[in-house]
Amino acid sequence: MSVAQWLFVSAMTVVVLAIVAFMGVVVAAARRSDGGSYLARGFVRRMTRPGVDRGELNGLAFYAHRISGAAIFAFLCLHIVDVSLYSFSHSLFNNVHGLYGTEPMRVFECALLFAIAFHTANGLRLMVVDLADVGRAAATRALAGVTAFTVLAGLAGSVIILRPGLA
Amino acid sequence: MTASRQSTPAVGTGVPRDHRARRPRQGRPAPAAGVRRQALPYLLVRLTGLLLAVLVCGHFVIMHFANDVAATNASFIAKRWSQGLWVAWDWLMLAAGLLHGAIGMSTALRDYASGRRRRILRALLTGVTAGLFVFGSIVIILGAGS
Repeated sequence: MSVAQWLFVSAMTVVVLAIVAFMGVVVAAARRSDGGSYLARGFVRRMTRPGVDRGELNGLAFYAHRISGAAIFAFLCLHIVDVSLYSFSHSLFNNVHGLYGTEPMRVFECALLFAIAFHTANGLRLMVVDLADVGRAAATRALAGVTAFTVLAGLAGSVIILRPGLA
Repeated sequence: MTASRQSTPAVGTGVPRDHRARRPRQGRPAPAAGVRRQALPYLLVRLTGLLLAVLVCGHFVIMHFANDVAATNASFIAKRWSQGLWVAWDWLMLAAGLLHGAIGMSTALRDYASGRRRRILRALLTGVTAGLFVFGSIVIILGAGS
């Protein structure tokens, strides 16, 4: 492994740790502001109620949107730097870019795809909810569509991303 | 949450800006004191978000679905950056992505940090974002010119 590749892997580790730390901050703040039972037994009990009662699904979407956004931003900061190697030396760029084809990076790319798919679909949903003023019930129904899209696009894309390694 | 920590100038007094607020129309409540101040970031996040929905998803599809990531290299970039469309695409994606991310992170920062720590983190966020924007722009301009 070259020095540039080692630096990239180190930076990638920092990005992943930063994302995990941010998730911790978000979840800790959510537990504080939404009550101690948040994401605990009380949450599971509420989930068994009929759909129209579950306004907190929109709250969960808020946290998922925030975490996926921060994750994408953290990776963007690194990605700008690794693409910039192109300006310094093409062989250096190729050297680091080759890591994107390795198995651990392909798994990260799948996670990134899930984050981008959810953040995009949910962001568009929020714009529609704001502009059309459709109300909470329709917003929650749209969230089901967003979740379905995220899972389907994420799984289908993951198969395409991982296929060269699996074959 | 006090108004004194906002980054926008002329709000440091914490005094509600009633003199600026429009007279409420009949039957419509007056906007809260903080609403007008947040209008620009609100709009920018949505406009850049709409743009990024196309640019980033397109970028991901091209780099990971249409091509395998292991099959692309510097000559792939060279071919792309010889065309104005992809130079514009990548620069717009850089600018919109950084702006969208910085505003979003700044919003999150307002919820999770306060006082001196928030000022330091916001300055760091602004510095890193601006630095990456300048750096990335230079990279794209150099790449497109060569």
